[in-house]
Amino acid sequence: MSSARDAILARLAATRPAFGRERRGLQSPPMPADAEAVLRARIEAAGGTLQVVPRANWTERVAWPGAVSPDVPRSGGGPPHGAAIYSAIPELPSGSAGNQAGGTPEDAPLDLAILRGEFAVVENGAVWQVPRSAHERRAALLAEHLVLVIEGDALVASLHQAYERIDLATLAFGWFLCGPSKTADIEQALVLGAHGPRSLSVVWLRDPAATNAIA
Amino acid sequence: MGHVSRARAFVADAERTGWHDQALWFVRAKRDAAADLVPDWEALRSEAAAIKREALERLPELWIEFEAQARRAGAVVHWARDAEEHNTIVAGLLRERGITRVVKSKSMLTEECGLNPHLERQGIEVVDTDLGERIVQLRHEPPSHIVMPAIHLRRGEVGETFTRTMGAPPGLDDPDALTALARSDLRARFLAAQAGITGVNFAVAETGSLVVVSNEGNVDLGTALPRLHIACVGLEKIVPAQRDLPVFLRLLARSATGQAISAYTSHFRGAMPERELHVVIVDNGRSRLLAEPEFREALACIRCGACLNTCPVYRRSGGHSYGTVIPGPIGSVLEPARDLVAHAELPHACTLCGSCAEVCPVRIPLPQQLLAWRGVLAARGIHPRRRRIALRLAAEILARPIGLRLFGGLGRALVRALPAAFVDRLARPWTRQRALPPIPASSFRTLWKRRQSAARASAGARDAGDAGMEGG
Repeated sequence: MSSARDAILARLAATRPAFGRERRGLQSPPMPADAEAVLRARIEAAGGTLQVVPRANWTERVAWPGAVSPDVPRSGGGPPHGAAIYSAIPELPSGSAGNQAGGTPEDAPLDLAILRGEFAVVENGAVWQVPRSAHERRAALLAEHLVLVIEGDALVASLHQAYERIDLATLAFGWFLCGPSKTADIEQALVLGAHGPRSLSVVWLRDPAATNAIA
Repeated sequence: MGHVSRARAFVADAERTGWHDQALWFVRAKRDAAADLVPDWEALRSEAAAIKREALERLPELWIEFEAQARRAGAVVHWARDAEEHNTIVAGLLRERGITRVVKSKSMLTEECGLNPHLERQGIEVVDTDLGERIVQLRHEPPSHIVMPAIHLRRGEVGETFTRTMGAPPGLDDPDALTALARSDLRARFLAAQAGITGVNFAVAETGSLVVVSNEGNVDLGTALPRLHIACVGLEKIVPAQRDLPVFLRLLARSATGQAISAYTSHFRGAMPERELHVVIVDNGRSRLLAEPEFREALACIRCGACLNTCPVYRRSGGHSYGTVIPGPIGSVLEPARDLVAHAELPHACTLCGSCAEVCPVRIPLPQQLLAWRGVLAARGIHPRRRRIALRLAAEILARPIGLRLFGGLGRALVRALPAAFVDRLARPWTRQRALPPIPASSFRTLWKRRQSAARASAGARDAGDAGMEGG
């Protein structure tokens, strides 16, 4: 098909337009003073939730989604008892909560995926995430509920600053995730959980001392 | 059959037309609210407009750079001059691997190329996975909107379709329940698929990356599960560098649906371990459009659909009335470039209100282009006979002051003398849903003369200040 390639490139070279419209460049938006409130509003507008918790014993403090059934009692802190979990977080092992056995996302229905995010974008509520493995990416899609954990100095003001922290040239795959999978294709009625997770919770581990670093 | 007759079929259902109009206007209002939250919105639009035009000026270099980068990362790059070459390449990739089950996420390009029927003829099952696209696929209809493919349907119709095809209980019309049904049906198809085909929102020359957005997550399920990912990309989708992406991604979802960003914005570069990524770069008329100075800026389009949502004609006539893959203002500019005679009505399916240009995130001068198409149509004499005669007559009359005066006087006299019902019929179709305004007794010229002489008569009694104001 190199003939197609050459033909197309030749045609493009022969019809080169000149619009004379110059880039002016943009000022990247500054971090808002109430960054956490803006981030929370954007995440909630996308159907997600934001939980800001201190690092110590954080798994006990987080409100976990993904109850297998409302009848199953919560096992104190931590995810609901019996939930099938894929976790990329050392504090919480993969497997069935309270009964740790490994597994891949396709093997069985997955209640909860817990993954690490790189940072969150205040302006739109998205979290930049780079899956460490193919399993991790599939878990993020096949689980009923998704939790993304970000840590410390984890906010950028807008997508401009976000792409300054990303290097696509070295990245086979990475994605911004914002709220759960959703559709409005039937009469514009919003439905969460179109194909992927029905809920997305962003957990921001932030020790009180770290608050100053954000301002 | 043209736009007008197809639109007639849509507006016959007044309840549906009203709902459609309001639903799309609501999306337009959400777009405004989202744009208002971005202080540098107008600068952002200008920057996006400049970057896209720069890309159109540098297409050969940018695609060569993209190809080298993508290959370095393990992707296989193909080039297709037209729809047929594109379909042959995709079908070949599938056949070589013995693949018979394919999931596809939304791509206006594969729609344009007629990929689905091509693959189905070869015994390959193609499942559209965007919910709206799945609905219209099950109904054997084309999408009626580039972002909301099933916006022309009411929930009851979706229920009937799912009853017929997925065993939904008759009468089911709850969007949650219908979506849940489609979700479980499609989940099984995702897991069984051997290949995923996607469109592309942005191809990045600098890094060889592809960016694809979705809200449902279907792009990602369709590429995370099967071994083979085929990405089909039109020549106009290239942007020079990674730093250009935020400019477009800040505009795209806000313009499309009023969201700050889509739920999933995925960046692919090359093949992942034990996977294959094939990129098919498609011309199919784009290089020809690039040679048309009056129309080539339409290649800057990022397919957000904002011009459809705001267009008073689109909102009231429905996407199917255009009879094209891409409807609405942008479709009415793009499609006549493919076949002017077949789409001769489309540049006229427009009130020249200018709303599309106000919302376009990349500042495509759509109204000017639609007007330019009308000029091309007139110059080539591609007009219905009635319009040709009417326009020639109007040109003769309007070119001469005396002609206008005589014809105006005659018209006013006739309208007053003839029975109202007869005049109404003469003025069809204008009077189908509205009455003619009352015809004034005298012309503007007469009124103006009368006013001038009255002003002269009272000038002596006036203050100088008043006269000064009138003079200004």
